[in-house]
Amino acid sequence: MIITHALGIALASSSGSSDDGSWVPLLFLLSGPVFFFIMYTYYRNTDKRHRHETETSAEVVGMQAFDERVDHVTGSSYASKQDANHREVRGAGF
Amino acid sequence: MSDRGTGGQGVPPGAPWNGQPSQPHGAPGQVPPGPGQQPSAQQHVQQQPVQQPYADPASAAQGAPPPPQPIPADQAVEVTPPEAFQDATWDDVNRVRDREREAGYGPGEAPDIVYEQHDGPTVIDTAAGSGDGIRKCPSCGSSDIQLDIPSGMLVCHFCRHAWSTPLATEAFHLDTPIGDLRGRVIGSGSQNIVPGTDQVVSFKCAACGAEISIDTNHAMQARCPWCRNTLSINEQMPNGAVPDVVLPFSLPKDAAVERIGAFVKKRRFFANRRFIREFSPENVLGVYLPYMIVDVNANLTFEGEGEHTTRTYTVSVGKDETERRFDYDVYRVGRRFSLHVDDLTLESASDKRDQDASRNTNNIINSIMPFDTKNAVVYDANYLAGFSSQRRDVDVDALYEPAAMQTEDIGRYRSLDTISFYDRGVRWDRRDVEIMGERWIAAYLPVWLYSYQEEKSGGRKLLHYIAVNGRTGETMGSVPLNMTRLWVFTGIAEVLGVIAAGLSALILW
Repeated sequence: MIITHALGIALASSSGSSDDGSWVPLLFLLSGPVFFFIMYTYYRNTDKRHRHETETSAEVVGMQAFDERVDHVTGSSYASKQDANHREVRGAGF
Repeated sequence: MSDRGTGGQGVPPGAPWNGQPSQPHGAPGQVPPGPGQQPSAQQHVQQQPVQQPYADPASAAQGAPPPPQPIPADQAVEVTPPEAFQDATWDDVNRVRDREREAGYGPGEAPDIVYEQHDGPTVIDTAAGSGDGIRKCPSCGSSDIQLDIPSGMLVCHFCRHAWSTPLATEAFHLDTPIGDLRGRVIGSGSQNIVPGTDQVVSFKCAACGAEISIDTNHAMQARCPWCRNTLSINEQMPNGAVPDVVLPFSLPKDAAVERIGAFVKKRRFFANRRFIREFSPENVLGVYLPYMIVDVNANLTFEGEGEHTTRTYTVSVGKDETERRFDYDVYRVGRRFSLHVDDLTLESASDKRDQDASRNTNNIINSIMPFDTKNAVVYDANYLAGFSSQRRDVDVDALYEPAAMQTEDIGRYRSLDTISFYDRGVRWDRRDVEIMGERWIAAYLPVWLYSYQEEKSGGRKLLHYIAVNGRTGETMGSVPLNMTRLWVFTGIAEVLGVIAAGLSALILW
């Protein structure tokens, strides 16, 4: 978790500033924590669980939808919706 | 446990939604706006919460009658009118009268008594014909019976006769369409556990009359020490020991040992040295763990906001500095559908439901799901011969909320195909799950389990599991670490990283 957070900070700070690759050396500094994280999860598998959201058989019936355009935004520096939760999983781990 | 059926749809296709003409989606993936297109704008009326006719607190206070003055206890009288006890028993009446006398209620002060009406679940009788004691071979009458894993059949050790109990789906008619489910349906082996019910069951051996006891926490069979007959617990009792169905092992022990050995072989270098020394996969144990299998018929509604990129470009923000910028459209998005969830499987032993990876390794057992639950058969304790078992200690009521949340998760992921237009993502603000019907079946499912208790510094202990699905062979495990070695190599990796960072900086700058 710490590793992904650190990587997120590094990439977030880099994506907004420049694309000249000057941030690449900073990534090498994360090699120790990244190594630890990969090895720890490979041996302990603390992140593994049953993916009930995709591995359970289910059938969708009678899909209805609405899609209404309400706004247009220009000049955002974010590539994705920051508070998106369409892939959230709430029913795991209890 | 049902074949997929489309009967009894909760949300009829094409039905109007909030009074507006709908845009029915024939199937997931048929999204109205294709890439580069705009969805057809459609007015959607947000469902407003029903306004309750609340009165203004100030005016209400003015018109309110003065609070009744308390009457001294010695002047209190019984005032509960007889008609108030219309649906009550004499015991209820006497209890109320006693309470009034003791409390000294004055006229009109006695609290109203509300008798809750409970609609109990519909129960599928899965215990018919079962009985405790000696379960004999139908051919020769011997009780020396065991599961033959390769064939999946019960085999008499005396005459080699082989047979199996019927598939549970057919025997209990669990294949009716999920869309037809209304209310709660449970197997008789899924009924609530009655606190205080003995876990140790004693009965007489039908062959010799000896008194035999079986601790149902760990086993469902015992051999009579006098006549050597095998005695079984088959009769359902309210202690969670006898389920509705059992899924027999189909993966032999040898295959499980091989899988566990291969799993650990790939993880030796940073493994705890003592664990490696003591590792012997032959000690793997076959365990039937308790689960609840539930079919859910639910109506789901998701509403929120989605974003679709319309343009991506680069802008200058200073000397030699550029930034990526994005233009996008914002949409109000809604999806409503019925979801028929088939055989959602939940652990029903409380110790296995705790899956905090900082305290235990139960997530390992969870991760080897799913099982092929369609092949579960009518319960017979002979399937458990030679294996261990764990008793269920969690009721359906306690599992309802997790089942509802997992149903919501499944619905959210099933709707992903219909929102692919929103490449920046969707934030669902409203997520309603209305469960129309549910069918619960208690099951024993097969797991090959290798366990190792690691003693950490400070006396803390952690039980590591390596688990193999007794049907599919899916394997997962937690291998204790040699932290000293891991830290040393992490340090080396970091030093190499610093050197690489310095070199790359020299090249780039």
